[in-house]
Amino acid sequence: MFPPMPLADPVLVLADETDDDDALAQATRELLALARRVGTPVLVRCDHCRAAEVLIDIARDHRPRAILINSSPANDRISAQVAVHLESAIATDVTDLSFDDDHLVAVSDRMSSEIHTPTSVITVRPRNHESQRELLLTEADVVVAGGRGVGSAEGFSLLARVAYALGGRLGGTHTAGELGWCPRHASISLPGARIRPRLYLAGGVSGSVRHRSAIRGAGTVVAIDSDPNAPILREADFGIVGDLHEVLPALLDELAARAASPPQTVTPVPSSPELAEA
Amino acid sequence: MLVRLIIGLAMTAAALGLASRRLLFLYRVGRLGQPVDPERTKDVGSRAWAVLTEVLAQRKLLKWTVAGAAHAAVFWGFLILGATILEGYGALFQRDFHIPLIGTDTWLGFLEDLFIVAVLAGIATFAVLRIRQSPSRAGRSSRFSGSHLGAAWLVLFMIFNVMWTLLLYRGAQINTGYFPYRHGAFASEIAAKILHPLGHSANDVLETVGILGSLGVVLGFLVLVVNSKHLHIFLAPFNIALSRRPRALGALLPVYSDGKEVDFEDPGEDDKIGRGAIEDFTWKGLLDFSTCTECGRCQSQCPAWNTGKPLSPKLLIMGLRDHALAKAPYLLADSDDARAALPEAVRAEGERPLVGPVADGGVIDPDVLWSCVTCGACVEQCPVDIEHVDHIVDMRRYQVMIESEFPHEAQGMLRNLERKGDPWGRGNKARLEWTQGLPFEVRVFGENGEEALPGDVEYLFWVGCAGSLDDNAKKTSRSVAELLHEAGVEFMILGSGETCTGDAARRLGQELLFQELAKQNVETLNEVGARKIVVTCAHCFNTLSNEYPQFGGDYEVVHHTELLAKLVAEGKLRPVNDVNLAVTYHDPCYLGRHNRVFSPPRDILGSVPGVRLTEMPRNKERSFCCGAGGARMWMEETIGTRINETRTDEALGTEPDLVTAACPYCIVMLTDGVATRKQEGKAPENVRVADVSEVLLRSIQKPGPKAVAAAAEPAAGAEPTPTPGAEPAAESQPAADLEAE
Repeated sequence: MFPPMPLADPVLVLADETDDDDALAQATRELLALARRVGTPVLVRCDHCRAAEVLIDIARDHRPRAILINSSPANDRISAQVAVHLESAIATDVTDLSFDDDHLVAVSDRMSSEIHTPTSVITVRPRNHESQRELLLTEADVVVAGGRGVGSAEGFSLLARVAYALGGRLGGTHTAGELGWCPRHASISLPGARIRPRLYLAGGVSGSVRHRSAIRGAGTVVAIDSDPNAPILREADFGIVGDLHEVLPALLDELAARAASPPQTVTPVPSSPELAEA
Repeated sequence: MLVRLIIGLAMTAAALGLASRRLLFLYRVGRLGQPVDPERTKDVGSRAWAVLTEVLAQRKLLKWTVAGAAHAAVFWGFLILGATILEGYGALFQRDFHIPLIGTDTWLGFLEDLFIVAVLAGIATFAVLRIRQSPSRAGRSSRFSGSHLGAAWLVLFMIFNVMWTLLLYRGAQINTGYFPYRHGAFASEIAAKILHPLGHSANDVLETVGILGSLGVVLGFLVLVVNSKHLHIFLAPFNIALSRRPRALGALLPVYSDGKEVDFEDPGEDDKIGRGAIEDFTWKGLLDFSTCTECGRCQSQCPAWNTGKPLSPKLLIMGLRDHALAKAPYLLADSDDARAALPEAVRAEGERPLVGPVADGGVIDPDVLWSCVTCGACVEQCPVDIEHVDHIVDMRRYQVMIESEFPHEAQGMLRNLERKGDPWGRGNKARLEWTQGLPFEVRVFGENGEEALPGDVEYLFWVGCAGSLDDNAKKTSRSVAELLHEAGVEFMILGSGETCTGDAARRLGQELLFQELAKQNVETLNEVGARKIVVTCAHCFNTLSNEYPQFGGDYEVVHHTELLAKLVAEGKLRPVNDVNLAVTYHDPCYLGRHNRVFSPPRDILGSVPGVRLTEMPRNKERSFCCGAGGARMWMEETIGTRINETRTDEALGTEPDLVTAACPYCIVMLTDGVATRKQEGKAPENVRVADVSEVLLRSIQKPGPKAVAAAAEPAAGAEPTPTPGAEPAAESQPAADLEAE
């Protein structure tokens, strides 16, 4: 099952139980494709009752860069066991993976995270959920998105926290999708996802015509950009010229403070002036 | 002698019988197609010229020197060696036969032998090429990948057999004394020397065996040809004669049904919209498919194929051909009973959808159909003038207008065109934003109550959607406006009177929407009395100049690079400032290949002091698409690698400071590509992408008060309070901008 030769950057892929000798399930093939992007895929086929043990054994011997497992209620137990035993990082519901210098970048709906442990367990959301997720972004009441101005995949996790705090979905510009900072299907662009939230918060988005085209349906647009000439600021109802890495943490603090004092809690549609002045 | 005559004639009768049965079948298959458009048979002169240059002079084949020369040798060999077939048949009847009048002339003997050697050299070259470029070695990047390799080798082997049997009987004839040429046939004389030691009676036998063998091989070859891709030997001259002239690029054909243009305002009930089944193609389409030689020149140039997508123009044409031939018995059956009696496989072929996922039996997978950028690199290369792009768009038309099956993300662009008249849905009020901040007033038609273009206005400046709305393209519009102003050329814009020319809709297959937009624009242009139009977008340029005449819009359309190059040549624009830039230039498909504007942009760059122009490996006719044509700009690119990144890498390979192009689509795609590569650390931070006009403007601006003002403006905030829609001052001076970044 496992080749005796040491492999360069092996990435273990847990095969689906429905796989047989002739054909791999679509989900397994997608895992392999994803694995190929970050290392040498190694397919692990075993009875799923023993999958955790098998994966732990192989991982101890061969130190894989990552272990990819499809997300499902049954598999999530396996993933958790493996991660705990190996004391590795775990990233869940991942939609896209890349390898950047010396670390993995796992992109999920809500965030993009860098993984610095030698091995990690990655649970991957099977693709057939994709249309559903797209719908969620395009149908969301609150959307938070970033562009090139965010500067890094790390910066996107800040946006993800803001999206979470506002109960919204995370998206990105065409460029952010290209750079792997957000999943490609979450690119708000033409072509791409066209959104119509009640509140749209754009951070580090300059506002190219294709992006502005995709947010035409948005209600209140709040934009943060360090360039006072960015076209998005002319499109926005509330424009903030500033560094999003300063503005957004302040916003998060404010949101947390409000959440802590119940009478102050307002509906998460802050067309309130506080935001504009933040 | 009698035996040899009987055997010879029997072979001939058998081969001709087999071949004509096949040809009759092929003819009946061809008759299944729809009638062609009436243009096909017009302009006999240029068609004759095409046959002369492309068939006899092998013009397109010789674009590839080695393969072209080898093909020319074999092709001419076959024409010249027709004489030896005549001699062979003659010798069946009369042993010392020679062609009357010239049949013993030294020059003819020499010519025949020269071409025997040339053909042998040609097929040796082909064999080397096929080994060196073999798919088993080069994989997908081989142009033969997917071609019928066995058949190709068999053809080479058969040609080889024709040649050596010729030498055999000619050599033996010399020894038996029945050879028509006393001098000149140098190769046959060598063969004779080799055969001579065998003795007279052996040579007697070899002569007969050689003649029969030679004729037999030729006849076998004939049967092989009509049953294989080598049919091009007979079909290519017809296909070339009947193809679109000068080339199947530029305008798309209108939607034809039954040889007549479909009137979308009142379509006939039986009108076929696009191609939904193989029999919907015209007989010229079927001729195209049958003429394909599987040479793979198209495939080697195709941007989709070269970036790992499933579309290869060659495989598309081969797929259609194989399907046409396999489905033909089903279509030729004249009753349901006859159809039911057909073998299962044929009936299954009859049920296959023309376009559909391969898993569901589709002939052309949707991923194949929608991968095409309509760049025309295939059409440009095809030695037999197959019209790939027209066929692809015709199939798209059916998918879009009848089936409503197309990449859903393109829906956004279509809806915006319908409702707002531009692909991004900004609306026509936004079309004037780009003029703000220019140091002079841009004249807008109708602002002073004009009903027609004033007499002093030379050009109508067609700005286009991108030129009005896209931030990079707006810079181009401003540069061109400034340059025209500088040169004293009076121009006017239509402002909110413009709508999209409809290029993207048409290439997506949405002809209905295209026609609406086209008619609206032609009406506007005719109303204002436009005669000369200058345009910055290569797609608008193509549509305005090549497609609007189909709607009664005849204008003299120039691309801004043509006009600017002319103004420089006339001395009305004098580039003086040394820009000191390493520059490369990307040929937009719809400017270059489709419309043959290759030199004006290069002339402009050449006129600017300090420009060091380095060409990319693929340039001019062979330029590699940016990935945005054929409405691909409005679709996601999820398969394979990115076309724009591939092209960007090629541009970056020239180590430029500035990547130039002359089309807003290309600039968007290359800007994206360069940005991605910079982020990955694979491109230097100083590399920029800009339109050619921006370089010219930078070289022309006087370092006088104007430039000082430009530098001062953004800092001092000379611009009044930015109103929504106003452009920032920094963008109004491209020269300042170039330096700033």
